Amino acid sequence: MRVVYGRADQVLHRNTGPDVVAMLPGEGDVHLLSGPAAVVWELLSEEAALDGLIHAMADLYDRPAEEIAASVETCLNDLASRRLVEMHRA
Amino acid sequence: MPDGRPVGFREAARIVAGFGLPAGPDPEPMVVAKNEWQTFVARVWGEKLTGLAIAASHGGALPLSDERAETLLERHRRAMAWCLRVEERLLTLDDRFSDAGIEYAVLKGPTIAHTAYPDPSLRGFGDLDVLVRGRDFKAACSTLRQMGFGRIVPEPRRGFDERFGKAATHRHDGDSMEIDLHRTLVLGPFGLWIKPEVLLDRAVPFGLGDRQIPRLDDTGMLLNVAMHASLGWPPGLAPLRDVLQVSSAMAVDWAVLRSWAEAWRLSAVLHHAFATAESVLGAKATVDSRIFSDSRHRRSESRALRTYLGERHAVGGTALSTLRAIPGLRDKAAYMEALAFPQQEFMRGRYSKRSYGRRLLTPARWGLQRLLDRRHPQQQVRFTPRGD
Repeated sequence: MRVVYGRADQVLHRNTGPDVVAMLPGEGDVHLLSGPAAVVWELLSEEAALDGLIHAMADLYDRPAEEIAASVETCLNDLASRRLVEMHRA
Repeated sequence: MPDGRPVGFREAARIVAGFGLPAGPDPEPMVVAKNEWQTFVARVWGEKLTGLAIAASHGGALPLSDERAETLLERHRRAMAWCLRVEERLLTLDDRFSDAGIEYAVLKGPTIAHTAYPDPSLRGFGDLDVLVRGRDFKAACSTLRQMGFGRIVPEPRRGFDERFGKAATHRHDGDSMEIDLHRTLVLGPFGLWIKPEVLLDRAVPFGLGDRQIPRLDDTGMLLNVAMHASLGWPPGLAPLRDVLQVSSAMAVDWAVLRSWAEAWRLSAVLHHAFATAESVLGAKATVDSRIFSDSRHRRSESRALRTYLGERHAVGGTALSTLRAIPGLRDKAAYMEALAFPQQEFMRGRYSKRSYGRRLLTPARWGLQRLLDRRHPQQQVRFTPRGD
């Protein structure tokens, strides 16, 4: 069994050029996702496993996967702490 | 500064409003003059067109310096953040209306953004419009009050809303967000002639987050945006874009729309909406829309339409045409009495000083203005975007 990440179903969001604004209804805060966080959000239009996201980001930014792995995981954890992203066991 | 054809803010806003339409022109790159840039940004912000401006920039029609791109992006972020707050409020409204057993459908705004445009960020909006049945109007007002929304202007007389009213604007005590609670789609005769309950009977859901929210079906949506584009005041570019967007992207039942137009005397309005959208945005409407240019418009339709447009709008044109459209002497008298002698709450909401004298002088002011207009005749049917 592996862990996959996906956008929380109830999140409201919009693209704003290179960035994304997103909010969880009832929470009050509108979050601005920019740079790599916006790219991760875009990749999460479909559920993805951590290693898949790391490799996709490595390809997009032309960096070795091991160099960016920690940053991608931190970004995911941050999005999850804001309840914009959810983890599922697939 | 990037290269492009120099344009003023008005032309730039119109080109942005038509950008990306399937039957639109392929615009050459344009550059907004330096002394008009701030006005252009204010215009696209006010007209809820920041998303289309960003799209035009990415599509090469509006090449921007880094500084201008950042200015526009910042406005767009703010506009989209507000849209999310409006949608959040819509989810609350859905909960409250469901609990109260109030049937409703969302009009325009979020429904168009999420269903007619390829990406909802292309269509901004600033408030909510919801349609309810006349019998639910009072309960809906009460529910909005419980949500912290106060009605800006009370109804002129008890029962006016259900008999003659179009909508009541409610403003939130905290963030000033507005909800227009509609009993019908527009003010005046066309609002009285249509049967909103038919539109509500055909409501369908659209997805918002993980919820399903009621909206007008595609045909009802086109009717709504066309009436808004043609009869709304002040006229705007986004509603004209909506007419061409909805008619080309949605599954409109043209036979049903035609039957409504004939039954509800809307052929002239629909023809005017399509013709104005084509003329202002420079894009072709779908061939299906030609049924309204081919059909004969009744004299009462054309006369009523003229009262919404141009100078007559400001000199009582809509009120007088509403009076003509109200059937029966008893109802006509009730309408006139309500407008001439409204209740005190209405006067307090409408005027800074409660003055029945000023209210009663309004028809005299309209008459004087009409007399002056007759001496200096101006074009009656025209499109003048807000602020021009």
